[in-house]
Amino acid sequence: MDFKSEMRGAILVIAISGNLDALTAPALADAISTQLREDKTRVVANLAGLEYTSSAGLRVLLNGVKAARQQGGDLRLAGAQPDVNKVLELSGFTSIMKSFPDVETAVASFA
Amino acid sequence: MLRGSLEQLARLRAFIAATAPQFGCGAEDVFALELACDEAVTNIFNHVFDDQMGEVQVELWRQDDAVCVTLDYYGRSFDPSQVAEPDLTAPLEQRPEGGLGLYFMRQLMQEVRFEFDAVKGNRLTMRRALGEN
Repeated sequence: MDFKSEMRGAILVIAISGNLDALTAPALADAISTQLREDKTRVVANLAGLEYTSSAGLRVLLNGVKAARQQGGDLRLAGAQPDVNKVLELSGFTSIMKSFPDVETAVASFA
Repeated sequence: MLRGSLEQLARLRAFIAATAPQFGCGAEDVFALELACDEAVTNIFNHVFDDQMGEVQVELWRQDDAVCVTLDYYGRSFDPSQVAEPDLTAPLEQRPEGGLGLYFMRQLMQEVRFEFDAVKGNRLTMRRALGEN
């Protein structure tokens, strides 16, 4: 799993690629909480390059959404691929997280 | 044989991706097996081995119109019926962090059976009917 962060205006975009499982998820959790501590609370998780996630990855995203919303922001998903979408649906997360087809739409949704 | 800890998860998924198609599994079945086995082995490494090194023997085979997988390991037992099913309709603040792994396994597999034996070892058997996507 790799991730890189960039600012698009006031929105933090974290591009996550590869595989998210119980081994790799903690590094992403650390990265998200570091950014939230720096008051970057409007976050887009770009999942276009994410090939796989288990419930461990979902837990990180769920905690990210909770923390961001508590600080008045949000964490929104973009570009989830079919296998990742299946896991999101299986978990019922699609009803509590906002998901967009691509980063541009997700970033624009904060406007 | 998986020997180690969570770094073995990628090896486990690669084994399933390489092996399952030989038993007639389509892409949907391979996805289901990878996720269910990942969740099962994560739970074993985290909750049975307590994040220490451990061993899990993995076997995959075809039985009639189903694909089966067994995970054999030693360690403590638990009562699967006591693991509450997560409420997937709860609002964000009330979503539990745990319990999703076993829920996924039960959603993806037609059968999830735990057997515990302190002497012979524990066995988790999962069965997925093929062609029921």
